[in-house]
Order: sequence, then structure tokens, then C-alpha cells
Amino acid sequence: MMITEEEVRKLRESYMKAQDASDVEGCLSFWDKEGALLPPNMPMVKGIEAGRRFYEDLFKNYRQDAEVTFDEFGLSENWSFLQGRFVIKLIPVDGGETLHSKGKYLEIHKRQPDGSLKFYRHMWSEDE
Amino acid sequence: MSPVDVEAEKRLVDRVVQGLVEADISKDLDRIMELFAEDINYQPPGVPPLFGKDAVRRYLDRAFDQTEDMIAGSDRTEVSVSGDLAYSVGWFKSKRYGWEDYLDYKYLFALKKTTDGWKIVAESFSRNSREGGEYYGYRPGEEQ
Repeated sequence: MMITEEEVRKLRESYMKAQDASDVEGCLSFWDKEGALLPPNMPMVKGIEAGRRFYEDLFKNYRQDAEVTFDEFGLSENWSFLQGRFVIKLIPVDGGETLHSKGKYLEIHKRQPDGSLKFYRHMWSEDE
Repeated sequence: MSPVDVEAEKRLVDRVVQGLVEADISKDLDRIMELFAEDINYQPPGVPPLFGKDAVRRYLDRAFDQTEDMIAGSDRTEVSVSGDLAYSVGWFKSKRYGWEDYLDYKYLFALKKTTDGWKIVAESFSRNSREGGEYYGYRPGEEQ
């Protein structure tokens, strides 16, 4: 069955809720088992365990508040892509000045055997 | 409707990706533009996203002025079962004039099949480290 924009939006929104709640396992629950992050200025973060360490390090230091926009969807039966832009606030857990960032992203999602949709690749970089 | 030959489509996509790699290495801007969709979304690190071939051509023209050498490869390419979408993930190393070391990057492409063949509709890439200097092709204040 063809992946729909609504499914992709729902995946994105659910994932962002987990991120904004600093919920490591919640974030990982939206990953394909071979999923990977491609963050700027560091090598690919591939696999659930590497992802867990990434989120633990991030959420240990920052709480985040993010907004995303969707520029283009690419939809098929077994996977989809989405490109768009983000604005994010990184709020230091131990106080200190909030960091502001904006940028763009490109991501791939895969249909799972149970019919759900999960992140397979998520790449982003900042505009400055 | 006849079934899609996904393997045949993958070979075509591999050819586009390899063509882009070769064109990047040889700094062949015209060839690169042939492989891009008119409304490509190009996502270099350190600058806002670039939309359309003209913006990307300006960016790459400047980037190639600074690049002495490049090595690249694809890690994985997949075509949708419908045979009209594809993505490719891979890596490249870029060496700038006057620098001794190559800088490591990763990339992600999204492609669509059009009446004019497979075209790259989105490209994102970024450094693997903060070490070693500024971003590929980016000189602050001169990027647009």
C-alpha cells in the first residue's frame, strides 16, 4: 500500500514529541532496525545502540524545542523521502544560554513488516 | 501495466550516481546539471538550502575553484518497488588547494524517474568532523 503524506507527517510529529520530551527510547522506537542519523560534523550514527548513545549524550546536556516545515514528499509503497527545514532551540539542562539554530533536512523512511513507517536515514545541517 | 524491473532501474540509478561522482571529480558543471532536476533542493552545510539548478551551479562553480581533488563512493542505492523513486547514500573526500589532508563527508541523494530519465531531486551532504577547517565550498559572506 502506498505510503501517504499523512503517514509521514504523523511519523515526523510523533518523533518530534519524543525528541522534545528528551525520551531516548521514544525516539528509538521510530527507527528502522538499520536506521541511521547523518548529523553535521560527525560520522554517521548507525544502528539502535549508536542511536541510543547519541540521544543520551544530547538529552543529558540539552532539552530541545523544534519546529519543522515540509518542502517535498517522495512517496512509494516501501519507502518515502521528505525534505524540509527546521528551527530548533537547544536549552541547556543545567541552565545557561539557549542556543538557536536553523537548517534543512533530508530523510528516508521505510515501511515495516507490521505496516508502520520508521526512519531509515535522517540527514540535516545548519544554515550557518 | 507491465511489472517494474527494479534491478534494471537500479542499474540506471547507479549510472546516474556514478555519473555525478565522475562529473564532480572532473568539475564538469554542465554534466552535473544534466543529472539534476530543474527544481533540485541542494543542501550544503553552512548555507541555507539552494533551490534550482542556477543556484546550485553558482555554488558549485565557487566550490570547484577551491577544490584540488575529490574521491567518492556509494554505500547503498535502493529503488522503490514502483520503480520511480530512489535514494543513494555514500561518502566523499575533498582536498582543497594548499591543504595537505582530505576532508571526509557523507551524502544522501533522492532521485525521481522522469520522462527524461532519472534525476536527482535532492542532495544533502555534510562533514564528518569539525576538525580541519571550513566547509566545502563555503566562504562566509560569499555563499549566495
